[in-house]
Amino acid sequence: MAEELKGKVTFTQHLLPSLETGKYHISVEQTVKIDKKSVNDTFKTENTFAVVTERTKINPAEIHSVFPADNSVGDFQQTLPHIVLTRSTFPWERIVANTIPEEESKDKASWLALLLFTEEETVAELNTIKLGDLFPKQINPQSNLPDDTLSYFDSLSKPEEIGKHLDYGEMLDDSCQAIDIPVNLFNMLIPCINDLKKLAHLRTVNITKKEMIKKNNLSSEGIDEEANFSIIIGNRLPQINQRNTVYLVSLENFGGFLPDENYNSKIPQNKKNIRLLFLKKWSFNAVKEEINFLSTLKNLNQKPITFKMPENSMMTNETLKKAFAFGFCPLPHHSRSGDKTFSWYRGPLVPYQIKKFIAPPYPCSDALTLYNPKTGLLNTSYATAWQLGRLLALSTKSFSQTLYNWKKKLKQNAYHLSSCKKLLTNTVAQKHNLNNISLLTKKNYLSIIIDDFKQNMSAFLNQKKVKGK
Amino acid sequence: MNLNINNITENFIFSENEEIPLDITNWIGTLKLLVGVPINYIIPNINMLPPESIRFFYLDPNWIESLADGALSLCRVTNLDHQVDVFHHNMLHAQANKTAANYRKSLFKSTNKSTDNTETEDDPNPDLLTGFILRSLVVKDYPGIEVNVYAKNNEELKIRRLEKLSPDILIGIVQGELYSLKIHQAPEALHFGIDCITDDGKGFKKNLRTTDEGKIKESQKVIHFREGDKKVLPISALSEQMREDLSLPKDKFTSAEFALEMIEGLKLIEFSSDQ
Repeated sequence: MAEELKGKVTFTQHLLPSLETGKYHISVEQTVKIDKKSVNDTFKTENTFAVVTERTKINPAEIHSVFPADNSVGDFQQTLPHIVLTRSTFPWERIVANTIPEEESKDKASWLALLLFTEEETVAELNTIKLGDLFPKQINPQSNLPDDTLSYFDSLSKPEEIGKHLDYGEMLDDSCQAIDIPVNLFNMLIPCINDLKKLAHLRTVNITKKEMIKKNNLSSEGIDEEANFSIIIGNRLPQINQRNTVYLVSLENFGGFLPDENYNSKIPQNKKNIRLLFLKKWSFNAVKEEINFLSTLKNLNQKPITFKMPENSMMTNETLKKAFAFGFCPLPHHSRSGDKTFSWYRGPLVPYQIKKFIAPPYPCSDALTLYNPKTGLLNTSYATAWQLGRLLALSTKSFSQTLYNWKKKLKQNAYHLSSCKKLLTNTVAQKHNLNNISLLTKKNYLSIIIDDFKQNMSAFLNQKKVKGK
Repeated sequence: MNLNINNITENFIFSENEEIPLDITNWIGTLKLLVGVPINYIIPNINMLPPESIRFFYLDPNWIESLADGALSLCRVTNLDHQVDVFHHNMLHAQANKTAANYRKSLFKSTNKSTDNTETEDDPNPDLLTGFILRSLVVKDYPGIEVNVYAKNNEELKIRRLEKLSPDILIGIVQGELYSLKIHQAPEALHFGIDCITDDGKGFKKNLRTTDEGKIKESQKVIHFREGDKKVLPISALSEQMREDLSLPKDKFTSAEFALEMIEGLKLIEFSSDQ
C-alpha cells in the first residue's frame, strides 16, 4: 500500500439544540415615560410558539448510514452496531431524565439508544400501535397496554395528566412503532444513564471526496464541504451465526426506570414486559468467515481491468475478438427498411485512449453512422449518442427553450449583418484597397464596416448641420 | 433624421460577441459528464460489468461530442442554422468544458472565494478524461465511501464526477490519465469494536489510542461483559478504565474521547489499472 492518506475527522461530545422542544411564550413590554408631559404608557405584546421535533419517527433522509448495513452478512462479531444521522442535534433534542442535576446539562445523555437482539430472543414487535397505547389503562381506557407491561407513563395516575405528556400537535391516535421486551432481557441489555452519555457523539468530516449523497437536497448554493453527523453506538456485540436485529429506541423521560450504575434494575416487580418506542430497525447476519469492506473489495473481479466484453476461449471469430478488444458489443438493429440485423455499439466508456476525430456540428445522426465495407456492418455508437443527446435536450425544457431563443436571436443578427455587408461591401473595399474581402476575419471586417459607417454618418450629420445653419 | 450613431455601433458589437446563455453551457457541461445519460447507454452489456467488479476506462471524446452535438442540434434545419452552429461551436464547447471541470466543485458551497477564482481555469486537456466504474455491495452497504485517484507518477488527480448510477454502481470520472485509485471507508462511518474476546467468552480486550497523537497502546487488561451471556459492554466501567489507563482527568473523558478509543482503523484498498 502506498503512502498514508491524510484527512481530518473531528470528534465532539455533543451538539445541543439551541432551543429545547416545547411550547414557548414570549412577552415583550415597553414602558414610555416623558417627564414633562406626565406620560407613562406601557405597551405589551405576547406571542406563543412551539419547537417541534419528531419523537416517534425519524425522517429516512436524516439517516445517513447504519453499520452493519441492513441485510448484510459479515464478520461483525467484534464490532458494535451504530447509526449515523445527518441531523446533528438529534440525540440531544430530548431528555432522558426528568430531574436533571446541575452537572447533567454539561454532559447530556442521549435519549436514543441502540438495542441489539438476536433471532432467539423473544421481542414482540408492534408495528401498528397508537401513541395512546403507551399509557396505562387506568388513565387511557382505550389503551391496549397490558397491566404487566411497563411503558413511559407508568408513574402517571390521573387522566388529566395525559395532555402534559403529549407534544405540541400530538394526538393519542397518532400511530407509532414499539417493541415489547421481556424484563429479564431488558435488564441485561439496557444501558444506564452514564452509559448513554458515552454512546452518542458528533463527528465533523470533509465530504469533498465522496460520491454525492444528498443530491436531492441540492440548493443553488451547494452543500457545505464539512458536514456534521451525529452517531449513536450500540452497547452489545452481535451474536455469531445468528440474525441480529438492532432497534433505535426512545428513552425519553425513561430515566427513572433505567438501572443504576451497577446495573441494578429499577423496574417494579410486577412488570413482565417493557414497551419502548422505536424509530428505526435493521437486521444483519454475523458469520465467522471474513466478509467485510476490505475483503469484498479485494475479491472484486478485475479481469479484464479495462471496460470491455470479457474474452471467451470458445470464441474463434477473429472479427468478434477484435471488436470485443476495442470495447464494442453487438446489439440488435432494426433498420429503417425493416430489416433485422445487428450493429456494433460502444458506449462512452472505452478500454483505450481514443483521439477526437469527429468534427461537429452534424446535420443528422446518419452523418455519424460508420460503415465497414469489409464486414458490411455498421458502427452506430456515435449516431446513437447524437440521437440520445437530441432526445435528452428535448426532454429538458429549460435547456431547449433557451437554446431555441438564443439561436433565433443569432440568426436574426446574422441576417442583419449580412444585409449590411451587401450594402457596404463596395464602398469599404474601395476605401481600404481590399481586393478579397473573404480573406478578412469576420471581426476585422466588422470593425472596418463600423468605422466606415461612423465616418460616413458623422460626415453626413455635419453636412446637415452646416446646411441647417 | 433621428439616428444615434453610438447606439447602432454598440448593437453591432454586441451581436458579434453574443454571450452564450449560462443555461446552455452549464447543461452541456454536465451532459459531457454523462449526467442524465441512461445507464444502458453507458453499460450496453451487463457482462462488461458483472456483479462485484471494477473496471477502468477512457472516456471517448467522440461519443461525448456526438452526444453534445445531438443536444445542440435542436432547430438546426437550414444552411444558416448550420453556419451559426459552426461559428459558435468552439466558444460554446470551451465554456461547457469549464462547467464540466468545475461540476463537482459547484456542488459544494464555496467556502473560500479567492481560491475559487484561481481554479476556474480552462481545462488544459479536456479530451483526456478517464475513470473507473465499480459495481459492488460495498457501494450500497457503505454509503459515503471515499475515493482518491492518482496518475502513474503518483500525482493526485482531480475527480470530475463521483456518483452512483444505480444503488450498487459507482462511476468516477477523472481529469487526466487514471492509473491507480484508493477506496476507503467514510470517516463518519468508522465503526467501533473491540480487539478480541477472551477464550471463555466472558470478557474482552481493547487496545488504547493516546488522545494526543493517536498512537496505539496495547492493553492486556481483560474487561468483563455485563452479567449474562449477551455480550453487553459495561460502557461506563469501560470508559472509566480507559480514562484511568490514559491518566486523563475525570471531566476530560466524554463521548468524543470514548468514540476515538473505540473506533477501528480506517480500511483502505488500492486498485491499479496495471494488470
